[in-house]
Amino acid sequence: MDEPLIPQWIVTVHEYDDAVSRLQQEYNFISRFLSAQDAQEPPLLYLWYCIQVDSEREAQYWQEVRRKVQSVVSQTFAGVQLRVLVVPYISTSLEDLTAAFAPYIHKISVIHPLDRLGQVVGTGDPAVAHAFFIEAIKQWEDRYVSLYPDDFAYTAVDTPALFVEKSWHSVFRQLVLNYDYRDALQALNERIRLQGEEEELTLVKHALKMLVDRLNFAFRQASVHLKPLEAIPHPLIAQTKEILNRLLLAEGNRDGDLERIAELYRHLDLYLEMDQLHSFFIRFYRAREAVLQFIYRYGGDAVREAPTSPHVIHQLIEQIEEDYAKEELYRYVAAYFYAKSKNVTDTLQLRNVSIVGHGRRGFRDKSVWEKYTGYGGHPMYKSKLKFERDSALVLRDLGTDSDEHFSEWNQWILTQVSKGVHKYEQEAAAANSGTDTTRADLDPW
Amino acid sequence: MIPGEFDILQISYFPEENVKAMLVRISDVLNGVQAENYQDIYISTHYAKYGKLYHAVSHECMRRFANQLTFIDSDRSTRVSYLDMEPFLQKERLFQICRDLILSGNYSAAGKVLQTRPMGTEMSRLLSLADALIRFTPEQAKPEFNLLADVLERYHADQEAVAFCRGMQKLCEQDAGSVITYLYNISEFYYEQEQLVEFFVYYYRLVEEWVLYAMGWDVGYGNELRLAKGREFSLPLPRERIQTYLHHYIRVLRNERYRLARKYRSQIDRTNWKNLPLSEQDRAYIEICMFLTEDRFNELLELRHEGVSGHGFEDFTLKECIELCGGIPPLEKLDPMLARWGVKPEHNIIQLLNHALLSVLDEALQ
Repeated sequence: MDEPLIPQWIVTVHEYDDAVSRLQQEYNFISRFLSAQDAQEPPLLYLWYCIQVDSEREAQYWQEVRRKVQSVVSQTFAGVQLRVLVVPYISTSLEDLTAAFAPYIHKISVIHPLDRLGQVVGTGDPAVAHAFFIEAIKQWEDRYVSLYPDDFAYTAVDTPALFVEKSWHSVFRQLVLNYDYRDALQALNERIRLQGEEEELTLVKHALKMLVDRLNFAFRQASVHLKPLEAIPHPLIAQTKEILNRLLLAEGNRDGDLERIAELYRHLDLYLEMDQLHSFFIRFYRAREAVLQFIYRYGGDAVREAPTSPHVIHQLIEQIEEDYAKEELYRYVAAYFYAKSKNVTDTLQLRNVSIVGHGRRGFRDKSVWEKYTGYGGHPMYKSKLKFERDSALVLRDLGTDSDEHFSEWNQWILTQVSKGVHKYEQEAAAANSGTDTTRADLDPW
Repeated sequence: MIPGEFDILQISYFPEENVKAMLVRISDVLNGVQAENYQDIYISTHYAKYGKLYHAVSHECMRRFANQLTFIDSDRSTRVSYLDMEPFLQKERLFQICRDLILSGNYSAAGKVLQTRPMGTEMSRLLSLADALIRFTPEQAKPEFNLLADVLERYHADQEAVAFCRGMQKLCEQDAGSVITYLYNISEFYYEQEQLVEFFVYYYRLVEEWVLYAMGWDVGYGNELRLAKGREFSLPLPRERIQTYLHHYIRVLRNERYRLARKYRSQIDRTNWKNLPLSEQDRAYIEICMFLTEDRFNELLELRHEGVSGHGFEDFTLKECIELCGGIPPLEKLDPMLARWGVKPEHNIIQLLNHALLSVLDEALQ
């Protein structure tokens, strides 16, 4: 196989560990490994920073950790594209670990649809590495490769194309990981109809309804569907409640206006990840306009009403330009330059003449990314990454952060469902225990 | 092996051994295993201290007998937790999975599930048509329209549906009627999926294209307006430059209404237009004008602008848009008007494509 091979390096740390010295220990191994690779153009490596914690934390905390680790490793490995993924986990049971890995492994699979992905064997704590192996081989299938470093060389063992996932569970996973919450909900209802209601599954049902509403921007409904989950002590749920509360604030409230922009960018990231360019473009125009309106409203000392005619975006840009010149506005300059940039403007021009604008053009990846990056030669994942990074900067400038909110929900849902399904299977097994001799013989374990 | 019996296989660990030698040794041991004699093969994490060896054994077993393999998470709890990955899915199962994915529009996911099986080119070509339809790049799948028709014909689809699919090839030339059909079909799809943001965008475009069609106009590749050939009625292109926006068309229709009021020397309004002695063409345009400017319908169209698809953050619910249409779904509301202009689609290209995909899949699994 000639496809590029992207190594996946696992580091396991405990939250009480000294992260910097732990990473330093890893440096020698990583550089030795990199020197064994063929001298390709700047090698790409994913660093899976798996951190064991005692209790759940806010997503923002992990964003911060990711940023720190990324900056530490980027300084050490100049000339290497080293990307950090932070995976927090509490228990080291196989179930919980695979659920923790699932959304990230899926993300890598989508970002690198044609590449082979190699787990560097010997990295990470064995239990963590094993869970990674199981989840990765399940999702990456024949693109999964074991990479055994051996002094200054390494041995790669690939995987033949031999299995596909099976059963209800795998359809459900596919739907959830593809953010198709409506169909996931239908699949779940079907299962409940056939096999009865489990508490875990009922909770998942509410979560899916909440997510369907959110993708339709129906936040009032979403709050109603979150209600039954609120008693669960989980930071994701507390955080979601806060987000929804802000989303429900009236227009003209700063926190509400900002959260709606953040939410819009969450959706944009999701459609980008899924390569659904039409859905992406339907919303991108609004995202830029909302950013400009936010600058206009809150960029100076006095909060102002949004301009009355939002339909003419160029007038708004000119007004903001004037106001910056007069120093009536002085904040959010980075976001301003982004929103008025040629890249964004040109990209949105494609929307206007497209089938979702007022024309009859379709969406070709190449032309879209050529407009956005101003260069036709980037591989798609790189262009998408640029978009994600730009968005993150804009959000930070406006006073919020990009996050992985929907991926976190996916993880929560998959964990809940596997709990529910296991319970069912256990009960079924208990009912059959008299006849199932094979399993009974395994008791020594 | 008799059910209930089991063998334990041991592979020893040599810390100093190099990787290649270790892999060869594992391979030798596993070559001796006659997998078909076993019902299940278990790997326990119990002695997982030796990371590298354990990983190599796991991966090698996966490569050889994934379908019989079970991992046991032993030291966590007494419960045996296992993850099974069967390669040779029962046909019905695989069909069921793909069916669900295809019907929900997850064509790429369906393609992924099928990747590992030899499916023939028809399947992948039809999936590429699905992709082209969603992205609206029909020219990238031009021959696949005929393929779709051939496949449907093979499965004894109704002749009209077959002809419809062949006709939809005109979408590649941006034929106005085909574009209307497409927009109608895709709106229907998103409505069923409850993706209302998408729905309103396509619905609005449908109205926009229908009005353009009814006025006897068309757009060129540069998106410039021109008179279309062979339409039943048409309005002259206005002298001032107008863009291909629905609200510009509505303005033209309003002006037409004022012109007709002068021509017939009578006010024309919602209460009297049906009884006025208008010519056939004049009546048709008054009808469209009344339809589009009706308050509730206008509100429905405005939803596109009030949501994230336009300039607002308004939320949508199915209930609300049915209410705005007087108790019927928005597409049904439009049906009589489209039928009046002969552009109401009789079939749905997406549904027919799904049908063909499922038929081919079913056959491939026989």
